Amino acid sequence: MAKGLDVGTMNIICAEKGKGDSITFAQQRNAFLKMEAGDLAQNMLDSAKILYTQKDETINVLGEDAFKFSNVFNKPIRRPMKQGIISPDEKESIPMIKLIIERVLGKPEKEGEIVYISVPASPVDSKVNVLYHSKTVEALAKRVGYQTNLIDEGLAVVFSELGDFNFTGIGISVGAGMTNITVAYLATPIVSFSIARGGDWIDEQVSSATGVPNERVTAIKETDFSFNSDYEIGSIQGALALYYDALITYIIANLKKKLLEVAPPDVEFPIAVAGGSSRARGFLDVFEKRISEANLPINVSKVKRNRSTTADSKDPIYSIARGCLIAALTREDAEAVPAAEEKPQKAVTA
Amino acid sequence: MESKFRYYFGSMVFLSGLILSIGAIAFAIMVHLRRTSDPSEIITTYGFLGVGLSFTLFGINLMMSQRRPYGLYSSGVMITGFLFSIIGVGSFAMTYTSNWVYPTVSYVSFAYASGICLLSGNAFGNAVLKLIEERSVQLHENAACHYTTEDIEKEVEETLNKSFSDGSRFSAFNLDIKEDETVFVHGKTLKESPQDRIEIKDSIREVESLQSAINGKVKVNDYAIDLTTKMLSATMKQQTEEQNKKMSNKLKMKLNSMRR
Ligand SMILES: Nc1ncnc2c1ncn2[C@@H]1O[C@H](COP(=O)(O)OP(=O)(O)OP(=O)(O)O)[C@@H](O)[C@H]1O
Ligand SMILES: [Mg+2]
Repeated sequence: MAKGLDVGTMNIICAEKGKGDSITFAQQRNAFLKMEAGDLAQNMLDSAKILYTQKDETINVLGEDAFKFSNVFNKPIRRPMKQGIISPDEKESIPMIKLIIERVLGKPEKEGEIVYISVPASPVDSKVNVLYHSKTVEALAKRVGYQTNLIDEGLAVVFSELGDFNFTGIGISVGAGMTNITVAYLATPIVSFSIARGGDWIDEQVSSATGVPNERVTAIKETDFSFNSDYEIGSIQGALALYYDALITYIIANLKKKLLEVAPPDVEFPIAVAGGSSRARGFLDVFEKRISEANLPINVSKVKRNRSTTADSKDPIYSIARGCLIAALTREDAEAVPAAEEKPQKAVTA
Repeated sequence: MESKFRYYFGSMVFLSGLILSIGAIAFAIMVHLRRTSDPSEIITTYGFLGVGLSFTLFGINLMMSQRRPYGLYSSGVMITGFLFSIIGVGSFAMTYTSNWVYPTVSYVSFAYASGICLLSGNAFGNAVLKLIEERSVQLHENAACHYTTEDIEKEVEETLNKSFSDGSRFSAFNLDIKEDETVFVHGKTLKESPQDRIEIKDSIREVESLQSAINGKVKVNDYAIDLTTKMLSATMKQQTEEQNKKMSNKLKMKLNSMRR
């Protein structure tokens, strides 16, 4: 069965087809924590089902638990990726990323199973090397035994969210390290780019503006923040709203700039927003408002109400992995059809 | 073939010029040349020195391949320069004893000086031209042998292999990052319990519609729009490819510098 893999700065998510009409998602935090073996009893780690690796006196706790432990032991967490990519300088955390990817991806059922992996597009505002990252992630999945394909994160959003519009529209993924944007027409990308700002950027800015530690800002942002309420000026939430708004304005400004460069076809382009940072309550309202103020050079029919409003499966954080899965399944179907047609022919000739 | 002969001939002229000059200097030392020396000694010395210098320059000019578009002018300049300088030396030899006064002196020295100037200027111009050409060829070659995606893939493979197997490289400053199964023990949960998964109802109808959208089965009743889209996406691909090329070049440089 084909799979979709979303390798993000914060989350690594794998989507595959479940039994019947369903999708299963496997998710891990893209993070690890280095600790002294003396701090922890190993059997305790085992019984608590904590993911870790050990080497001499050092224990690396992986994934979600790394976050919990970092709060308890007050140790800084390490994240192998920054601003959407594995940086070439962070080679030493590649084994950690590899473990996490292997964990969520699982072994292929058959050799050469198709997997589509989301990768960021070239950023407009930073000189980071996306290609190196993409090839590294691809090589890691290949080593597990998959046949890999890369897809722009923004296009994955289009595939997942804009099926009702013939895959025409603008897919935006506001993640942790990056924001990815793809303008597509009939499933063909017209413009694809990324911006090296996302949830992490908001956290950093708010943290340095208010003096509150980064991790706490993240926690407040994720649990206790909504655009619709009025916050005091000077409160953390107030700062969050401010920087969120700055991020949205920045995204839309860059989108406008790119659209002016290419002059896309004169059809209606609905917009779909996904990614963890679009989870914040009231995000879409603000986004819609800024879009309508921006006077984009294309016909934006509407900002699509995200799936998160209805059911569980509609969590925008899963959108990208789901889009990758759709691409993978489509590819698998397409490859299956010619094979099926070929077989009878061969039977005839034989 | 012709250029080879020219090079051969040029080097011969160059060498004979050099020998002439050295001979002239040796002669001057031998006869203790002074202002008051015998005119024949002065003529011999300066005559050989002058001819030697123009031969040397002429040889250099010949050795330099003069190609189009300036080849013809360049050859013209070279020959004129050589003739001028030789005439200069000749008339010096003829007039030194009898008529070495103004204005003959200035005519003669002007002829010689301009000949030498033409020769050396021509040589310099050709050298610069060649330098520029070589540079542009280099640039061209660089552009042609861009790092391809495969090269990057190779680079990544290498890096991955190193980061997993060659522990010694990392262990020097980061002991925990060796992924050598023997020293890098995986926790029990990592080995035994499966990854948590959440299952969500979803019929994924998009798969079918994506298939038809990609195959162009979706009807758009506007040919022009279709065409512009195709063109746009083609140019976009080109752009990103170019970008990637630039990136990979930078990467190559970085990797090379890291290796050193
Ligand atoms: N409820 C929430 N409200 C606001 N932000 C949230 C919420 N939940 C998660 N986030 C933020 O979403 C981000 C993670 O989103 P996501 O998993 O889509 O990113 P990613 O795909 O890992 O990163 P990227 O795509 O940039 O590489 C984090 O910055 C996190 O703080
Ligand atoms: Mg993402």
